Amino acid sequence: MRPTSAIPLLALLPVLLAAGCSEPGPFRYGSPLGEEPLHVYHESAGIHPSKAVLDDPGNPFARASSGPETKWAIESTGNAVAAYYSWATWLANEPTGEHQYYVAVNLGRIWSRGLARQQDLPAVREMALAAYQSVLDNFPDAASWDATGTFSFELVTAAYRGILDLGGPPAAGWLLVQDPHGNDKAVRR
Amino acid sequence: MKTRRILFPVLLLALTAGLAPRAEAQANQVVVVEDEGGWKLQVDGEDFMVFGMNWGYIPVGENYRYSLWDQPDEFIIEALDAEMSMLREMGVNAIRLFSEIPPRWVEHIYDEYGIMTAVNHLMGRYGFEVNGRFVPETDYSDETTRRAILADLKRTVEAYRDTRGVLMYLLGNENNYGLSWTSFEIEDLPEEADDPRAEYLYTLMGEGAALVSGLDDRHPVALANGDINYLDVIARTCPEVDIMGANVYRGVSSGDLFRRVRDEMGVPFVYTEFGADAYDAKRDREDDVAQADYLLGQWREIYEQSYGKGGAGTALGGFIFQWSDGWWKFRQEENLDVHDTNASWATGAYVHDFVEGRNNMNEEWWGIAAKGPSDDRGFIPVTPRTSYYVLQRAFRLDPYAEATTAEVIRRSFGQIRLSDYSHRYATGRALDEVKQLRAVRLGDVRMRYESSISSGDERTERGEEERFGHTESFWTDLEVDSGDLRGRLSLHGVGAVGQNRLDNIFYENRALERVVPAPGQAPSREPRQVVDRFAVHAAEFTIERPRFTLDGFFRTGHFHWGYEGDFFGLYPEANYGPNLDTYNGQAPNGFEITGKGPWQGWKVAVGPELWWGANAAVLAKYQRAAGAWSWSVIHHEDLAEASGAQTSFAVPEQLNRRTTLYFSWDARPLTLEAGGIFSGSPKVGDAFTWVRETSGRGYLDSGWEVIDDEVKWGDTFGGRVRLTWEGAVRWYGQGSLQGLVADGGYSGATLLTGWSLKESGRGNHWALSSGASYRLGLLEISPQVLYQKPVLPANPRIDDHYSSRTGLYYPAVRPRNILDDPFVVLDNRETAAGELLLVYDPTPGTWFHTWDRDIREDAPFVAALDLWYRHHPERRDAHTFTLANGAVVPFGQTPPAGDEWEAKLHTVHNPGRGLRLAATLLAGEGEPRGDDPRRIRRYGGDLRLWWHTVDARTRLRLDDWGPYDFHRDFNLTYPLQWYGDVSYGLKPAGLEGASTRFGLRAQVRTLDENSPEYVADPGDPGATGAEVEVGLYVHVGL
Repeated sequence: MRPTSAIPLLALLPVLLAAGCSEPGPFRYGSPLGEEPLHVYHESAGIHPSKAVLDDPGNPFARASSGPETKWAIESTGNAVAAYYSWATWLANEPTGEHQYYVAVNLGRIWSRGLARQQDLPAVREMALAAYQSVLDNFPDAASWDATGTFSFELVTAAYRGILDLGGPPAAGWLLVQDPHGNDKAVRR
Repeated sequence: MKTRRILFPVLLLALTAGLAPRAEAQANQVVVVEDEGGWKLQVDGEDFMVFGMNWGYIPVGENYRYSLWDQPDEFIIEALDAEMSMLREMGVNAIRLFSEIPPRWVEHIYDEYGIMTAVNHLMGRYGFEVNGRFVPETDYSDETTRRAILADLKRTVEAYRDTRGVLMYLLGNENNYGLSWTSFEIEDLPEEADDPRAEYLYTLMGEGAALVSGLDDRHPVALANGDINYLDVIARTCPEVDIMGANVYRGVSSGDLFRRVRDEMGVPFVYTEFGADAYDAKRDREDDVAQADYLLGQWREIYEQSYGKGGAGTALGGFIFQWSDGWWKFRQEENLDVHDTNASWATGAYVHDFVEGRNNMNEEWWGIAAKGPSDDRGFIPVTPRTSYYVLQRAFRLDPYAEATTAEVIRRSFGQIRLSDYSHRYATGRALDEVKQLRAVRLGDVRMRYESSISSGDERTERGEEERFGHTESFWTDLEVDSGDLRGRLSLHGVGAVGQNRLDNIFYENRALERVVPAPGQAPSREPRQVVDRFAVHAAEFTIERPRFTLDGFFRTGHFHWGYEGDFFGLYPEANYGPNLDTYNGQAPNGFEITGKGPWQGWKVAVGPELWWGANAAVLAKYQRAAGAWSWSVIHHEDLAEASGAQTSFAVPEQLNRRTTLYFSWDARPLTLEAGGIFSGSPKVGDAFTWVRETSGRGYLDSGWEVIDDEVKWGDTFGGRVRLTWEGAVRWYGQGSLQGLVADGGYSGATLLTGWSLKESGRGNHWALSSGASYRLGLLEISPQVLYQKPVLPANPRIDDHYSSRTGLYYPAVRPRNILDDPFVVLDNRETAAGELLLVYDPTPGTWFHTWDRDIREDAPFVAALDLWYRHHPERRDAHTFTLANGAVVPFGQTPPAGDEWEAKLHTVHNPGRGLRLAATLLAGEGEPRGDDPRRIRRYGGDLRLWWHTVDARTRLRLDDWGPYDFHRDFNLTYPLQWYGDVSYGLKPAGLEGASTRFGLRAQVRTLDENSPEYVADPGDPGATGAEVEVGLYVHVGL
């Protein structure tokens, strides 16, 4: 190529750059949390250590996680699908037992209320069981705290019960016992 | 020697190649003269004894199919120069070659080395092509075959007769043995038989000799018979033969051969082959001395039977069999690179290793020179055996001098003691072996032993308890250097690893398993298995070929392409110094191919991590220059995404594809450079969020309007223009505009002088910069200014919100980062910057800005003061940090915008008497890489002293970050950090203090609430802690 032959290319540069800067996208406003049924993107989405939920095109929080207070607000809306995405995104970015537990809870709700596509419901139940099991396997010391920072309840027992509620098999290596106060408590064998 | 299988088609092809006669050639006049003293050969009127050699060039691993003459001319010339020079030094004046050698090479050998060639036509010895069909067993009674052979002989003579350097024609190659053999391999000598077929053979030889004599009256013709079998038939059927030639293997003496030839043929005699092998089959070992003994005896007989010595007077000389060993001869198609010691035939004439019933002739060991495996370019290394030196001595006796009588010959040969020469071959072989040993050698061995004791106080997690630790490790370098291939492999081994160090991230930690802590638990390390204690520390190699150079690198380094047309820094320099070991980085890792010859200008780099933090990628560059113009095009293609990172310094970014075009017009003192970049096309369509200020409430009352957008094709382009003036004042001006995702890289090239400020290589910015450098006496004054601004600004942090009243959700806006967003604002943030660099350098020949200036600078005193200030009116996007398991995580917030500045004074002193000093003083203000808003104003100084073999250094830092990347990531500082180290070595230390040294080091640092592992005292919030470490070390370098 002769050197002069590139000059037209250079001359085109401002045009191309201008094209890149033109016509900005839409302004962002608030929007209602969707009521769409869950489309299972990947069966590991929401199960630690998978981060597949961050690639889920249906995840409204994939690019910006819900805030530390908003996640509770979303949990309280009763929109299990939105809550699942919110907690699963938190779990992918910050793996804790509490995040994993609420992923499981909301997956259980989605299954029990039929909030996923019909063909996805069996998979959602399996995901819920796996999420509860993940609490036991990966976060055995996990606890939930209330808004004041006070210990609320330990999660493994709740996760164990969650498995039973879903009709799942008792978690391997765990059993339910009663403490001196007569409360159920999941413990390792 | 009996038969050697030569592939006929090869010969036939060779015969037909390059045979055009040279009208201008001046062929030699070679005649056989005869008088009462016998016969002798004369070349152009001068007596000429044939000190001949059967010469060939077949590398180890090749066989008879190989032809030197098929190689490129430059290869042939170099090969001939090596071999013919040695032959000439030995005293050889003629070689015997089959007629495949093109005449021009006969002339080259003669013109350059004075060595003549006996051109040997095989006369159908190994089959012949008749009427277009190759017949493997030549039927000499067949008239068509005879005509074909003679026609071919005619063409051969016509090709060579005017060629300088032709000594004679030889017909056949012991064809008489072929009369009763069907195998081409060497077998036992046959009894004389088949007289009818011999009649056909020799009548053809006679016709051939007559044909040659008729076509060429300047060169004699001889047979190359198998011994002197059928001598009576030959005498009768070959009257035109000038010389009786034969391959003769009769041991030290040929007995009555010379007399019989005289008596029965009346012509002189020349050995077309004779000699002895250099392998003792009886003792199963090389025996070069016995070979020399036979050859000395054989040549003595030649001298004695030559003209005028009172003997037969028929000996004209001979062609020794052979120059170098033929590794291909046993089995001929297999084990070509094995020097077989198989003996394939037997003769009692070689008594020293003859045992009745066993073979003693070792076909692959007949060389006067031992042959070794070819070098990388295909050339044969040879080592002259004892015979070479013995015959070199013997050939000094002029056989045709008047004084050379039989008595003189006896005395001269008798004075040659083999033991005087055998050591030369032994020495040569030993040198060869040393050379081979040097080809792969132990290049460097280093051992490092360190022990230290450390402790803290109650304000540190370390506590007051004294901790002792020791670390042992070693490096061993294996080096390969075999001409065109050079390489180095450095292995590292670890013994104990001290866990008490204040600076606890260092290379030897790689031998410990990093345990990812459970939430709330501190990281820890456990020893790996023993096998994991050894690792490849670094490796590199270079292969030189005529058309390219291939460089491989693993944890060594490579240079950038900034001076080769890489205007946008696509291929950065990859030399990381001690940081690479500190974090156990595995880069650079890849290959670089540089074209040569017709591929000049091409460069390709490919590898899994070409620079630290790179994705697996390939880069290709083509650069051309013509007059004042030069241009280049570079393409970079990421192939696979890297995972994880060792440190936040080197974090892989998203897969990318980049192409740049660059032009330069050099009209010194003015240079114009311009370039375009097309980068980030895989990101087209990717969504991103950006903000702009509004006078209204904005999104969630933030004062910002938030816009959801996506990358467009126009965002992938960029351009840059630079003007440089290099007169008394050196000046540059540069302007750039790069689209959102038109990412280049950091340019390692130095522009005019050693400024610190550089425009960002990232996309999403436009910039103007200019600088000048003026030398006022010994002082260089260099100011520079820079303004750059992102096309789209960094994102602020706006927390999300859910309105239970409206049921609307307002997603968060967060700072972008390199992991989740198509572009970011980091070093391309809005910057208005100025720099002033002052350099006092009385000896500008040793440029001050080289990386090793502290050692290289030769002036008594050199100083450089660098002052820069960067005004950042806007905040940037988020950096990332690495977790203990190598995962990379973005910060969620960024510090507020703030300016940065630095003042640094560096001096080098050479007061003499073996003393050298290098000092640095610095002060500055900067921001952390993470999200902490606290700005750091820091001060410090370094001093390094070399005095003969003493190396001392100290460093003081006040209110500065700690030594590791994570300290700056998380804004971890110490009120005071002090290091001291003094060592004594066996040799003067370099920059890295290599070689054998032992020394003492100490380290002190104080801690406050901004320091890691600080334990606060609620009762005394301002109390500082302290940690100290003292260590001894021995570094052994061999």
